[in-house]
Amino acid sequence: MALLKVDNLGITFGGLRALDDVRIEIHPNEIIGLIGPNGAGKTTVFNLLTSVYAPSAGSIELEGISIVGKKSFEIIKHGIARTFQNIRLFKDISVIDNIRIGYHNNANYSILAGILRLPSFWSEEKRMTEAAMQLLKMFNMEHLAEHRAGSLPYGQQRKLEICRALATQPKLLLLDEPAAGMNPTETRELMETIRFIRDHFQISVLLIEHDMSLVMGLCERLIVLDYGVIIATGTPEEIKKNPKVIGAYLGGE
Amino acid sequence: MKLSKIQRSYLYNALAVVGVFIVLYVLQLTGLIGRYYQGILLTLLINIVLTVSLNLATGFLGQLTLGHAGFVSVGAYTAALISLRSGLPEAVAFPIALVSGGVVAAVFGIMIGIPALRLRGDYLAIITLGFGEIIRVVILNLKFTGGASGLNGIPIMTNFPYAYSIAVLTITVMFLLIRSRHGRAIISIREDEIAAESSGINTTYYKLLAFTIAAFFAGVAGGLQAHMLFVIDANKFGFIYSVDIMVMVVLGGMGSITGSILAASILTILPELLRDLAQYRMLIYSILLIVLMLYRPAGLLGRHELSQKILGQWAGRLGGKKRTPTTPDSPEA
Repeated sequence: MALLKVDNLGITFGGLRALDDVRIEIHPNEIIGLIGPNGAGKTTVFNLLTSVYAPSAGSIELEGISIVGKKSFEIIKHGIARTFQNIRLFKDISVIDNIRIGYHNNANYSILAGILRLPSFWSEEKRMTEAAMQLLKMFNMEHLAEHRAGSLPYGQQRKLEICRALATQPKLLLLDEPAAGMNPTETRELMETIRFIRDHFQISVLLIEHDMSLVMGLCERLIVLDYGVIIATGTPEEIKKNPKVIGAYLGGE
Repeated sequence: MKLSKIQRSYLYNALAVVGVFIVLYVLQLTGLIGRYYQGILLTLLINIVLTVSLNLATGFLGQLTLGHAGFVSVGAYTAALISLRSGLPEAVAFPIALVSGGVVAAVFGIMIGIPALRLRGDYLAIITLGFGEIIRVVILNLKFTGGASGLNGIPIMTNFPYAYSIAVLTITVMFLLIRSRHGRAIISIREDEIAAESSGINTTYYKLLAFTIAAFFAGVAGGLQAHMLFVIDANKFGFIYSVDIMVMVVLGGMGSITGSILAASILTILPELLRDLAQYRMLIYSILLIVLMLYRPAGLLGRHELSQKILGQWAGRLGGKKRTPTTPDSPEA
């Protein structure tokens, strides 16, 4: 069974049909790239998958369960997590607290238990903190645990955002332009990181990206969006040669 | 018996709380703190409860609410009505009245919060201001709340032990809540509401939770006031009062509990010191706010808590090590 099945997805903003008849199928442990010129509607797809917008048409099913109409935070519980194009961290609190917020739904003690400092509070906090530190260690950031998140350099802020998304224990990770602002070395490191995430956590990754070296080197399949419709899907090799794709990026003939 | 670091810090806090109580109590018993200043001390403790509770909704949750006085009013009237009409002996009625005041205020918090918290920023501020005024006007026009003359004859039951315990309870509950996953959820909404939703936080629930807890403690504070003032009148709990409390929150630092305690103390004692200049009070307040916003917009303590800052200063003096700015979030104390 497909992990994610999107069928006939469409959304209209006023008179503008931003997306039309979008079909996506993602299987477990896949890395899929969603590419296309600026303004094609890629982030809109993410926003629909995480219920920031409600679709005008179509269905979205995660492991067979429809998630249309669910609230954003519920979709996290179903197993989709995302990062943002312009990093949205909780800047004024510590790095490890950012991750602990990701673990919020995986810890289990009530408000009263927290206030009364019952045993469940101590054991769950300990478990959360250990899990968060493990995650930081994987990304070589454990020494930054108590630093204010906003004080981190750009690349590590991006990594932290990914960590926070991973803390929600997703089945599908949506990365919105994770390589934005990175130089070739950092981009190569990011490719390794994403492969590692897929292998270690056994999750699928759908990423929006403009950096072709990352997209071609990392993704098993690509979906190409232009003006709100899918113009091509296939392996990186197929897409590289597809005339419609070339036309979309370089301008029509 | 060897205690863990956390248990030791809890113990020190408890000892400090008891110690301060004993000192202040003895000072009052022996008359070193006279009748007049005893009253100011009670007002100070009530202001601490008000400021700390508003800080939860404004400083930690990050929502600008200008109707806090409405909850105080609801709590005051509820508590007063119970003491006056229940037929129970005063000493029994008083704690029941206080809790009821808090509960009824919390119910109002939920009723107002559900529609109001859909809005953000300025719009939320205006709607809470509106609700605060609605409460005031409705109370002034109902018969059973005494109409325009308010309620009088409320037994004077608020004393130092009650006020102190409630202030300590409020501060403790706030600290413990903030340093838990639920507190972090509340703070995440302030930091970035969209990111919080995307991280699995039910923002609607937590906004309502913080708003309601704040209302509860405001209601209890109202009950304390009613049983100290003998007479209550809804006009005293209007928009200006909400602003007064907000000034204390902003002065102390939005998101600092110790800041709220500090600011409440300063702004209770300062008018006393400037008693001769009472007519210039609003002028001085306004100038104070302006100067503060120009030079220290984050308030006296910003988002930090006093204990960490002191530790930081000591560590700096001893080891020359710079302490990275942390948040009041590790579950220690």
